[in-house]
Amino acid sequence: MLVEMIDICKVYPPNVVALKHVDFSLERGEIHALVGENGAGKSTLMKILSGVVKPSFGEIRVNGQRVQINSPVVAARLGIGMVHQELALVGSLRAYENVVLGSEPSRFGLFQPQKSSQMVKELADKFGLKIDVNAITQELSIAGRQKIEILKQLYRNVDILILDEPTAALTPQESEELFDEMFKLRDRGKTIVFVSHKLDEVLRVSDRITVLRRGEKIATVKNDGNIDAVRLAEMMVGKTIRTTSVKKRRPVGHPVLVVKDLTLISKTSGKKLLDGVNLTVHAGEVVGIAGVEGNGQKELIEVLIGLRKPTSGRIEISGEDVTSFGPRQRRPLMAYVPQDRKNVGLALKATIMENLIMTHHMNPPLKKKWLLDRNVAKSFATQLIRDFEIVCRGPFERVQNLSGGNQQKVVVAREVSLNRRLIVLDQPTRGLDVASTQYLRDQMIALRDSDKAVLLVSADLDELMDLSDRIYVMRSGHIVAELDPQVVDKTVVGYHMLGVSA
Amino acid sequence: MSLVRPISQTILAIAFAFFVASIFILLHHSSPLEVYGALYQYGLGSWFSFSNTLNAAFPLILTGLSASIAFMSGVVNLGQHGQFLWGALVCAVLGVYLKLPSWLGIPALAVLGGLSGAAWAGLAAFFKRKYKMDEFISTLMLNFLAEYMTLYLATYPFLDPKAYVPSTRLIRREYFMTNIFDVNVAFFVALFMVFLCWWFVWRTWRGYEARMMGYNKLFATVGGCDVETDTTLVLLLTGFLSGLAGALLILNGTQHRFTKGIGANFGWDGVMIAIMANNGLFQTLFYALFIGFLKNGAVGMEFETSVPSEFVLFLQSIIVLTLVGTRSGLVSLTDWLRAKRELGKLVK
Amino acid sequence: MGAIVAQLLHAALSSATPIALAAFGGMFSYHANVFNIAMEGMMLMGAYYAVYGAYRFGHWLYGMLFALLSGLILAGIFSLFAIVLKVDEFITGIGINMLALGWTTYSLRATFQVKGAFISQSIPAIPKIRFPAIEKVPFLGEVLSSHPFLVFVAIAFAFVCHVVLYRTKFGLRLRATGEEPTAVASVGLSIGRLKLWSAVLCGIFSALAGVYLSLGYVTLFSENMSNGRGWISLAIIILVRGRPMSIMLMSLVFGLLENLGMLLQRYAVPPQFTAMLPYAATLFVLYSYARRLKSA
Repeated sequence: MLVEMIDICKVYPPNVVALKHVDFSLERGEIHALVGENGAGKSTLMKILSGVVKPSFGEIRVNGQRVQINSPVVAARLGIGMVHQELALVGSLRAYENVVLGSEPSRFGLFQPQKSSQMVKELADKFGLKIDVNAITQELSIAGRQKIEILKQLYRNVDILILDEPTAALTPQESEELFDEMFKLRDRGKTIVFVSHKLDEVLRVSDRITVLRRGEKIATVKNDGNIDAVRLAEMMVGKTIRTTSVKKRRPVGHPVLVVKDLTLISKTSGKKLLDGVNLTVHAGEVVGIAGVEGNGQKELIEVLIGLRKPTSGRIEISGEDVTSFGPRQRRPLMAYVPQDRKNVGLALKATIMENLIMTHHMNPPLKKKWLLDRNVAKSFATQLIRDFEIVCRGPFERVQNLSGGNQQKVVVAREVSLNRRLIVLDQPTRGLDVASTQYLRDQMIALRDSDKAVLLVSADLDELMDLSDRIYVMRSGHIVAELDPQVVDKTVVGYHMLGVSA
Repeated sequence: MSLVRPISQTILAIAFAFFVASIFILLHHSSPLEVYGALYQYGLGSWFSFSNTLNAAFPLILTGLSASIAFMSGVVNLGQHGQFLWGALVCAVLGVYLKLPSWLGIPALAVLGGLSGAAWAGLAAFFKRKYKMDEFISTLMLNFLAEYMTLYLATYPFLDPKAYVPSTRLIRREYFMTNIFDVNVAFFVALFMVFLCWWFVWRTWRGYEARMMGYNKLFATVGGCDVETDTTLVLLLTGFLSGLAGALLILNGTQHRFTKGIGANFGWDGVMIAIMANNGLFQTLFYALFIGFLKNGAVGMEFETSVPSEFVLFLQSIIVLTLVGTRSGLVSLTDWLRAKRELGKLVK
Repeated sequence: MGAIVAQLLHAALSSATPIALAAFGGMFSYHANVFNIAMEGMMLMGAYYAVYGAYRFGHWLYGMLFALLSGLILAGIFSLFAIVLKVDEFITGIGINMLALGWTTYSLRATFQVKGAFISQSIPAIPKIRFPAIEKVPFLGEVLSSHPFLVFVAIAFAFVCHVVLYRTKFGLRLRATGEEPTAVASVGLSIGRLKLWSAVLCGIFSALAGVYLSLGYVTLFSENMSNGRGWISLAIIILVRGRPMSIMLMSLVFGLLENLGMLLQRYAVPPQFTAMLPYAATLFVLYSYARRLKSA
């Protein structure tokens, strides 16, 4: 055994139990998949192995020796390195600078750029990673940045490479390239931990699979053909999962959101962030927006909600020209579930009630002239907590005490209860467990069935394919395709996302 | 129940601060007990001392409120000093030239003083709205401008030629505010403002928007709050409070005129009070009274012991630091203890 | 006319020095993503202890030693609160500024038995450096000669800081911490330690600014004598986004403005108005910066 983790427990202050008596082992030269729902403890377990998080209890052995992994430096010395899901790179630095950061080639304290660049270049060639090591990091694609992260670990001579949800933001084609690289690394003697919840990928690449559920280890199995996705899914969730599909085609109504020739030019860089975007969302349909992250989806949403003014073009909601409106004026016409609930969707330190009445507070019965009616607010919040099954101690609890899924329910409850004809959802299920995800998907279908216009932006292609009636694909600020998910398949969407012809 | 923790934290922190301060008193070859005894005697010991503490506290309550409301809304108004000075100067000048009966003149002067403070803060609001200039630096710089401008006005156009230091003439006698049982009426005005601000913050929808803006500005913006107007409103309100403090000090203080250095440290004291109070309004009242007690007691302390009154300036800053340090430290400590307990359950 | 301009530039260089020194200190915090606003207090404390040390032991070197120690102590307090106890950095900064104001005012009274200011013939000032070679050059000589050496130290620091920030391992790590702390943590560097170093550098530089203020610019200590210079240096750092050369340049602009006031006083402009200039200038610079952002 190369690595053994025995009886690992982890409690995050104040009282979040992330891991309960978990055992985990690695053999030399294997690709070992670690699967589980969001919140199952996969990342925590791997952060412990890579020295980012200290275990509360348990022991770790590397090559049979008991070790204390107190920091990533110690982990690297033991040959263990991790590529985190949120890539930890400095955007304004060059790629090679990110690779050598922390153990920079230097002379008398002065950094040596040429030498560093050369060393990183050689390293990339050795392991067959195709990347421009002199590029400015923030100008690279997600897949490119991921390679930098992998190089960062290889530069530290790791034998065990942990990849935490590496395919989450990649297109199917980019994922394939990554798998090839993983196989190459394995062939050169590296051991890889592949953390994922995409079961088809797991089955495709891994030699062994360990399943975690709610902080406990369920099983470690050999991927020898005797295991399939359904069986794995059951182990992950603990019961047979209901598969979505509440898809029935309904005739669509009038156009609710009409976007014409929308262009946004960055004031700082002069780059075209949105370039002549045209799209329409009708009442009673779910329209999906697909695209590799950073191709204008974020900007499109910001322009739609009114946070940024477009350089040119026109936005109509329910027949009204709202192009010049700010968020305050647009809110009577639209609901919005932002991607980043912690920084945009919620005020974490405020109470559940205060979070639930946002936007509602602009109108009666909550607003009474100068005042905000506290009693109405309280009963309104209590009602929503009951209707949307938000698990909490009451309307006066702080939102920061809730679990991620319940926090998201607060956002969704607020926005859905606005009862607007248009609802824009930006990555609504990111980071949620299966049950909450299922709940949200049902909500979206229910909204569609009650004749709302639903615009869904998601990086999860499966989700888009399942839920959308139509899909627009965005690339470099353009809408490059409008597809019918009933007709085309996932890889076609992927080709459009990447801009290679099918 | 939920009150027990903050109160015990506060007591612990203040006790710790006094302990730290004792070390410095000992270094000064004085007895901490004597020093604190004198502080108590002259700050709280008798009705006379106590009423003086209340009188010392009223400007602090108002500048403290000003800072608390601003910070709670995420508006970094650090311009209490300048707003205070304009309130005081306008009140002092109009108090000389304006001829009104006292029942009308006193409230009018107080409000005009407040409005001058609001106008000065309004300048920062204008800069912010029109040019997106950060209020944090602009209010600070406006403090210095106010300092020199008011000093100019008191030194040249409105100078009282008989005064020793640059100051305006005495305001008309009918504008002197009275006391009720030795307590300045201004103190009650400050109390009323605490209540009024509480009502604004917790009962009006503008107050709600302001608080949400303080928690998370992007959340408020996306939620449809009128953040630009809210910010302007908060700056005007907090400017008014500081200006009112200045005006009331002229009307009900001891000097009844604008003199060089009248602003003392009221602006920064307000900021410190807001920090200690964690922007809570009633906590602001409490800490303003506490600082008032220290300032009032300081006079007696200097009189009775060899420790100069400036010592409380130092004591005050120690208290602020230990208070925030204890608060923050205790939170991580209790979190850590809870985690330990949870692990105990798991491993046993 | 030429003589007046030379005089003006000489004075500008002199008043730019404390602002620049404090700004170099704050710059390190800026790049480490620490919102350190304690320069004002660190400068004030430095100024007091410079006078204390120099007066007590009869040499300006002792003043500098004491001032640097005081800067280190304040940096330690800042780190204890902001890094160890995780108190809000802004609040910690204000607390330290108040601490410095309170302590120096009290000490002035307790140690020197004076209120307001301590002025004495026996405070040894920092000697002024003369360059016999340059002094002969008509214009340049007048501008550059007979400054306390800290003026030249400040100018040299502009270059040194530039090299440190952009050419060394420490600088690379510091800038990385400021932009993406997770990147730094992920390679096992301690963010806390980098922040600590930035606080220490801030303490040292701000204390030097204080030394210059009370032993170079003038030779006395007066209550609150930093008088907003720390805040101005903070504004400069934010405006030029922490670039050392630009900091030096902007400080010179402020120095020039401050002394333009002296010039105006000759034309019977009241001193209160001329004293306003640096603060008004800060507002104006903020304004033009905002305009530039808007039009970009």
